[in-house]
Amino acid sequence: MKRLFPNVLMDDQGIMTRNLVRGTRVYGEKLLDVDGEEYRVWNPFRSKLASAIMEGLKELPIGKDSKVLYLGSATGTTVSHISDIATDGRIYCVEFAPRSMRDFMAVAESRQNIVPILGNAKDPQQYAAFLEEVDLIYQDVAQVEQAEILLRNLPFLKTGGNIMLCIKARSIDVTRDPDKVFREEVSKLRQKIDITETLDISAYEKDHSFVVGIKR
Amino acid sequence: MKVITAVWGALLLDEDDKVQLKIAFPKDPESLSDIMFQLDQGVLPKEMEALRDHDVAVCDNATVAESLGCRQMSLGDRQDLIKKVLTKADAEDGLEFDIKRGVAIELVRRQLKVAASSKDLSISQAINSVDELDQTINLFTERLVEWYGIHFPELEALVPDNVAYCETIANYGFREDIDEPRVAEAAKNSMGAQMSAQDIEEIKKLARAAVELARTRQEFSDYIEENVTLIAPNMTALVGPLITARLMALAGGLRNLAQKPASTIQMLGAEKALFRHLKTGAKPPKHGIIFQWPDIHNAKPWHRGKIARTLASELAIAARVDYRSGGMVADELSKKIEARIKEIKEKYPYPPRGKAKAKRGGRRK
Repeated sequence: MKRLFPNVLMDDQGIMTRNLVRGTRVYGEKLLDVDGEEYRVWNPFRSKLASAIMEGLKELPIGKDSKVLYLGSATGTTVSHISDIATDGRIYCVEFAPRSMRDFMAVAESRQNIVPILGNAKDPQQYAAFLEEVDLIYQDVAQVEQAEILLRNLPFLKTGGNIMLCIKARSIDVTRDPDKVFREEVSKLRQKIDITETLDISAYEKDHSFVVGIKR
Repeated sequence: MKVITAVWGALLLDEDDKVQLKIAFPKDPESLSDIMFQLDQGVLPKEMEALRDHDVAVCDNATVAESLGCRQMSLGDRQDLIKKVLTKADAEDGLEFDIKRGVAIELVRRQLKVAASSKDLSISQAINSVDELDQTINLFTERLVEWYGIHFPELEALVPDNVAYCETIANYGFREDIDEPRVAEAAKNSMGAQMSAQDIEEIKKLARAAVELARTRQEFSDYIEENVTLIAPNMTALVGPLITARLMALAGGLRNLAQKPASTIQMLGAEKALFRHLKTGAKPPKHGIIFQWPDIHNAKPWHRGKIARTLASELAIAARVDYRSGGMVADELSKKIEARIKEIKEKYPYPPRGKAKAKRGGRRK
């Protein structure tokens, strides 16, 4: 059993996070007891952040007090684990689809560090009133303008803050070679962001890559 | 002058970014939720009416911009302004995180209500249910053919309609009890085995289930017809209730459908073929679900593409009119379509030469 990051453990089976809401599950995950604390198994096939960690993510820019803007929270699988980690932090979750938000509400209401926002990440002015300056923007939206969306939301991020971006090649162009698509999207970010890590998470999610960077 | 909107209130700033007017919203979560919801729905909250008395050049919120007739500032500018101006004001009137969170949750609840209340979503679900019911009825019927076939295999040929077959079993049970003359005759000479009352009773349960599903299917079908005609009268007039319902289901609602270009409407339902064409360069599909329209599937193969395009164009217009509930234009659209179809048939009475060669595999004069 190894402590990877605050509130994140790893054993020979995989990774897990310390359950913020003891005794509850979010998506049917397994609960484990470690030294009297309850942990939730973090499935890399369902959470892209988990797959990035499994693929050797060097630094996880999420601490106990972190303020996070999460674009594309869907039904809250990854959000719940970030919520486990940032126990005293704040996670602002933007999701576009009412159907997903419907399922997400149970997660948002049971965890005091989550703020749900039903809105379009392409138009951040819509939800700007609810936001404050954040330490990290985590984005996982399957959209053509993935890079543009991140850049449009960048004003919410503090200087020196981090970004974590999941790039889905098929969402951008279903016909082109994924590697070319990744490189092009990443280059769009370089004008404002220093890229610190690029991980290939295709082992867990086909034609996906994970990018970590710092805002200049 | 500039306006900045936050959850706790709004600020009016002059050219030097000094606070001229500070509007503080009532602090209770209920009022805040109302205000945020109004902004979300495009309505200027009464608490912000005072801003109208000032010359506002730019603001951060789209609803406020439209209501006051000013420009919308960029997010970058807003965030810079906030940093500059808000440190003191925020401390005085800032909202506690928990309250802000509560307002956000309440806002989402109200937004979900609005999103969920549309009839067209129910219709999409109904049509998908119809397809699933059909599959299930089929499945059960096949099982009944096997199971009841132990007792009376000849019935399958005598009653080809699925639902009628199930009804016969459900109503009568033992083959000897079947009332109909043709069937009774075959029952007497059946090569099937005898079955106990208990066995027949079990089979009847399955048959009854299938019949019940068929009844529900019919009810859904009626429900769809009735309601689609109400919410999308123009589309229904052009292609009928079922195709309209399927288009709505495929697009994800009437609003989405109305926003799609005609070329997409033409392809809705042919996604597999479309992406195959895009990825591998295979020949493109000519039509999606609109193939079900009689004037397309009954038309000559070399006319279908042109007719599909024509229909899709007029359908797109019909969808937009229906979404905006702008009366009936179906008659004019229909006339346009008919005229064009006539034109197509007159202009292209024979298949194009390339096609014919490929089909026949030989030379054509």
